[in-house]
Amino acid sequence: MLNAISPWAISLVLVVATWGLTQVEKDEDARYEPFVTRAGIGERAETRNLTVTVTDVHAARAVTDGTRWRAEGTWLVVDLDAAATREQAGTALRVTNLRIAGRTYSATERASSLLQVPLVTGVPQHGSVAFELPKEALKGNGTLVFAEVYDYSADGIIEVPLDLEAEVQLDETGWAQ
Amino acid sequence: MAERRGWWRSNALALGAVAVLLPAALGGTAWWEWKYVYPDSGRPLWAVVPDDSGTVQLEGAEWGPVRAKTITDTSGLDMPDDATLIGVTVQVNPLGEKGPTCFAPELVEQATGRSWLPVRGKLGLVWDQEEPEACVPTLEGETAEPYQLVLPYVVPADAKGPYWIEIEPDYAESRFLRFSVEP
Repeated sequence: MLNAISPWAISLVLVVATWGLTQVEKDEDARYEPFVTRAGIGERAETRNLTVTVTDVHAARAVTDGTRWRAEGTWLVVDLDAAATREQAGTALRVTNLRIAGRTYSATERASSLLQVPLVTGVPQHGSVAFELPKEALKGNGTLVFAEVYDYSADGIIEVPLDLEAEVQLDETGWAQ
Repeated sequence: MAERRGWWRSNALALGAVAVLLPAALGGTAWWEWKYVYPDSGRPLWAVVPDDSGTVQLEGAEWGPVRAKTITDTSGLDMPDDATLIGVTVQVNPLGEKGPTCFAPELVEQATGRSWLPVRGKLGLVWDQEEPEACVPTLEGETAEPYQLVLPYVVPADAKGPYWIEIEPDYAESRFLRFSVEP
């Protein structure tokens, strides 16, 4: 009797185990997903060969890089510190994207900015990047994305969530720093 | 048994060819792949270090000596806080009519592997042909002359010597120069 049942029992166990495996299995594209380091404004975030600290975010109707370039529109300007962590050769902020409401915007290449500037290992440089957006796009929640290579599949990236409608707290009164 | 020996004997030529060609094909393919991945790729793999005189020959030039020191007087330079300026000079003596070509040498922290490139422009220094940061190419009709690479590196205050200065001359087939320095 046992001999008659055991093949069926073993088969059933194997089928259930296989079903269980498919349940815990990751998506087929999971291997391409980047390793995300998240940080808030003012926090230092580090990934494979890049460290970024977003120091401030401004909405603006007009921007200028202080040289000859100036543009009007709906802008989000991000001030940040950035450095390489291991290797200086070839390291730069290549991906600076802003994701809002399912859309991705790249920082403008028209301004003279921190975009594409060679980064120094362990010695942060300060600068800004600017995003031009459609008129009504600057609302809700957004995410800044930074990477040092264009194809960051299975590589490290830095994400900084933004609340574009957050209340602003007035600075505490005290001695100037 | 006699029949089997007959088979070996009648196929002796083919068997001999297999015995020669199979290892040759495997060896040849392996060598070709290795050559493609390593020396032909130019990836820096085999360090060439200087002798006691502090100099070494590679790619048609004598390289070295290399001198490195921490520069404390940074007045007039756009230096960041919490950083150290390391000045390095590399003597290059071309041995032939044409000098070698190379990209700017890297400064590598031996303890951690962190690396830096010279940052003349970021310090606010303008380009000066007497102070090149990369190998000086020999132009048509010119003869190569000895010169010195002048390399300012900005490293964070927590970086520690000894360092390597690594130079990758073009066409050096994966060999690169490595000088140990302690500024």
